[in-house]
Amino acid sequence: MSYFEISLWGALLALVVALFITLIRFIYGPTFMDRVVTFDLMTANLIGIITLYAIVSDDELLLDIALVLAMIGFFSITAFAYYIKKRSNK
Amino acid sequence: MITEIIILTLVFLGVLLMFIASLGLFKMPDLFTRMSAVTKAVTFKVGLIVLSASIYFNSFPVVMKSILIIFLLLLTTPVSSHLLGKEAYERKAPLWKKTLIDELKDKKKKNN
Repeated sequence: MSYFEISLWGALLALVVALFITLIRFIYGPTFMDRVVTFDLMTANLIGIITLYAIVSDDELLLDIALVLAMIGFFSITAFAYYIKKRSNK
Repeated sequence: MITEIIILTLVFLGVLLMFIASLGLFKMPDLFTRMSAVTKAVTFKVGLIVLSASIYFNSFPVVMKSILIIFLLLLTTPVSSHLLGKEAYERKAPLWKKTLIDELKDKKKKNN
């Protein structure tokens, strides 16, 4: 293993630790909105992990998954905001 | 050799900033400050990592895909965060005790 691969694995490990930190906030988040914000950061973190893994394993196709995840993140946050608005109007 | 160093610099910058954003999400006292920490993370830090992937693969489809990812994130994250923040304010999410300025409240007072 060259220094390149070792440092990329280290970066992946740091991203996974960051994902666990956001997961703690997801568990302890006092309200529902906090959890939605956490979900936003978790999506971004997963995009980073998938892209780094695409570099490590030398596989271009994994970037498609990152692209789809970027779209789904936007739509899910917007849908959450829409339904929260509907629920508060009642 | 030089491309590897450039890739590693971009990746480490992105990962460091992402880690700081997660710590900010964990430690900030208030929903809105947490949101400010997260939004910057999502737009810039993911962009750095995806840019490093496009430098590594160095082919046309990958570059177009990464430009699309960066463009999507840059365009959609502020919109969704704005929607979410406004909804949170309407539902009267608690502000931090030491908050100094509440501009939306002042504006509503002026209109009434």
